[in-house]
Amino acid sequence: MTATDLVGRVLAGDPAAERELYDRHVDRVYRLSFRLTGDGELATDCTQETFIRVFGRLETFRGEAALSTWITSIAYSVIYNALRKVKRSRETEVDLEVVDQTAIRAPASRAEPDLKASLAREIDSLPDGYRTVFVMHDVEGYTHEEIATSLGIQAGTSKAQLSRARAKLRRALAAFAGEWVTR
Amino acid sequence: MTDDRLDERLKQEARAYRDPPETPREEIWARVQAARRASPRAERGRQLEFPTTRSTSWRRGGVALAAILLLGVAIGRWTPRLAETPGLAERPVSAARAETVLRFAAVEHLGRVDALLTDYETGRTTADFQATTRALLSRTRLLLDSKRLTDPSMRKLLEDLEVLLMQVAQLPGTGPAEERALIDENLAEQAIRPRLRNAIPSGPAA
Repeated sequence: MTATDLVGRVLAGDPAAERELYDRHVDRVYRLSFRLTGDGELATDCTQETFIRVFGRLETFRGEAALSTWITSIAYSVIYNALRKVKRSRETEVDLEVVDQTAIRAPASRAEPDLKASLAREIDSLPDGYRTVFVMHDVEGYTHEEIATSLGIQAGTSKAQLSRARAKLRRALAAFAGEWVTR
Repeated sequence: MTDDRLDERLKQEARAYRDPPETPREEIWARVQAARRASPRAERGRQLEFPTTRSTSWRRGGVALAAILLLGVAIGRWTPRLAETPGLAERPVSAARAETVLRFAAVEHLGRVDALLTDYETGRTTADFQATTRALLSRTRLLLDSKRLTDPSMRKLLEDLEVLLMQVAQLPGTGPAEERALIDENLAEQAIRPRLRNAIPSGPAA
């Protein structure tokens, strides 16, 4: 069944079609939510909210983009808002934790034995725009066209942000270059 | 090691970044169903939540604009039902009026966004700048959700503005230089200001 047929059936009130639409897309939404939030509960909440919106707005889907891309654009908006709320609530606290992390992070960036942990930290510290595009493209395998449509940006902007994200990560992880060659 | 090889290696290693566990499909499905049963209107109404801030001229103007938008959306949603009602089918004026109201609301909205971007670019941001940005972001989405707004260039402009406003809304204070550079790049690359001015017949809103 094509996506258009499936949408038609959902709009006609077919509960089996609703479930099928959900099953086809839920993994992709959850994976993106988890990768961008790093929190299982928040990822579950974001996925739930995304599908509530998807079903609520399905009649506005015009088929100009793929259904998966349309759903991703809704998911991104939900995730973005969730992250903003989390960030805002964290900013209101006196954040001793940040001080602790900074103290730990400074020496670790020079002599970190665990490449994956270092890489994860560096990805976390990318500006939001860079991180989103990097995670979507290099980690989750979205194309620049999908990213552009989902985020409402130009494909060129997506490419530029990815390039800058990689450049920042390369610089930050230069110490591991030798290790990468030999592995 | 060349940049390409490093990038390839980076991609390989990055796949382990926040590796997601198995999707809790049934749990999420149950929650989605429960939420939809509990509040069918919530599916559409969430984007109408505006941030609460102290009253300002921006805010008062925003409330008026939101009322116009809601009126336009309501007329837009109501009109097809009228057309389906026997005896009321021949009322194209209602649809035209809905489009006119929405068009007016959209132009008014663009004027406010243009004024906000002027404040952003000149650094003359007030205490409620972020709240205003978020309110404009919500209204941009509200306009985009309207089926009656059919002009493709207007829709494209609103879509581009939505992303831009998202970026501006997440800037804390004056924002890190890198984030501001991205916003400026977005503004320039997509020719946002010239497109805004073209879409506003009589210049930006006061």
